[in-house]
Amino acid sequence: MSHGLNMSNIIGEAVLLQAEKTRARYVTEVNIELGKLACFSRRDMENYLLMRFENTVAEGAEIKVTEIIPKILCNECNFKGELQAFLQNIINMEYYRPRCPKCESININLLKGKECTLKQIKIIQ
Amino acid sequence: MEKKTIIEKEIVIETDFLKKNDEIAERVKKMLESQQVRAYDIMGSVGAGKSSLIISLVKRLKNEKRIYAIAGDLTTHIDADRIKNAGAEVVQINTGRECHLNANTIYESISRINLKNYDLIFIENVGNLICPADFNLGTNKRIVVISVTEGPHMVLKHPYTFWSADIVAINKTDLAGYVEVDPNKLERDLKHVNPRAKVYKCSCKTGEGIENLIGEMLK
Repeated sequence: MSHGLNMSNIIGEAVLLQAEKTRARYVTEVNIELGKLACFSRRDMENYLLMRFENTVAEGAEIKVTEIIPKILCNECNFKGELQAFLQNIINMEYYRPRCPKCESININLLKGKECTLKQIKIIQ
Repeated sequence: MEKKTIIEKEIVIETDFLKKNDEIAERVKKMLESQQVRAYDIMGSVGAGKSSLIISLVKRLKNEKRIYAIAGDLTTHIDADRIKNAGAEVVQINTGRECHLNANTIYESISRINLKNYDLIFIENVGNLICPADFNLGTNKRIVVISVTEGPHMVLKHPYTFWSADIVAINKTDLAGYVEVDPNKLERDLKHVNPRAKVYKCSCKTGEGIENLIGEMLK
């Protein structure tokens, strides 16, 4: 089982648990933030959740996955900002070897870009 | 006729599920540090030589260090048996369909033992060059094992795993001539992907290079 499926299951369970706690009749929207450096893709997340929500109160919910561009702090030149290379949807070595766009150092701290956050859901009671 | 009221609500949750693994990894790290135990996450493809490396390490270190091993595998206990036969205490974690170990499995594992009884823990991750890299286990170092028999392009084809490595062992160098793969080419690729990683060429079968690798691990 890929961990994309595993993670989608965990998120799906969290959504359904919240729906149960709040006595939702329907879940109409699910908002997720997914870092571009997270270990699975937006498409997988959306597809797995659609399957997980079948025959539940969340069936038909709009699944909104916002991709987060990696943001770094360079330990060499103190550059702080987004990795522009990730704005293009081209998979290249930058995906696997992120480095400072200013001085090219790989001695960086990743501030954003690996998250998989269930932000909020919208329900109808 | 009774009228049903429809109430729309927005529920804020804000839970980062990947960060949860890092939080547990931090807990593991603190547990290990508190008992002065050093742990190593050993990653690599199926057949690269992860178990063979652990066996080599156990054989060389068992008289001076107290060693515990955690063997991750989908279904069998073949590796755990081999490591046990080499002289280490070992537990097998069968992950079923999961392609990697995560921090929680390690936390549960080391919670069941008395860490005071050990100096070193070797964790053999599931054979896979993609997924394990994303799951910090709270270890001191990450070691990636690659073998020349996997071909000349493994590093560039799986850069993310190598990017996260502290040490890379290029294994089976005794077979390099037979499979026509240049270990120096793999080393150059590694330096390109991860200049921070310490690279050691070795053969778990002949023992060549293992002492140097141990020296780096115990630094």
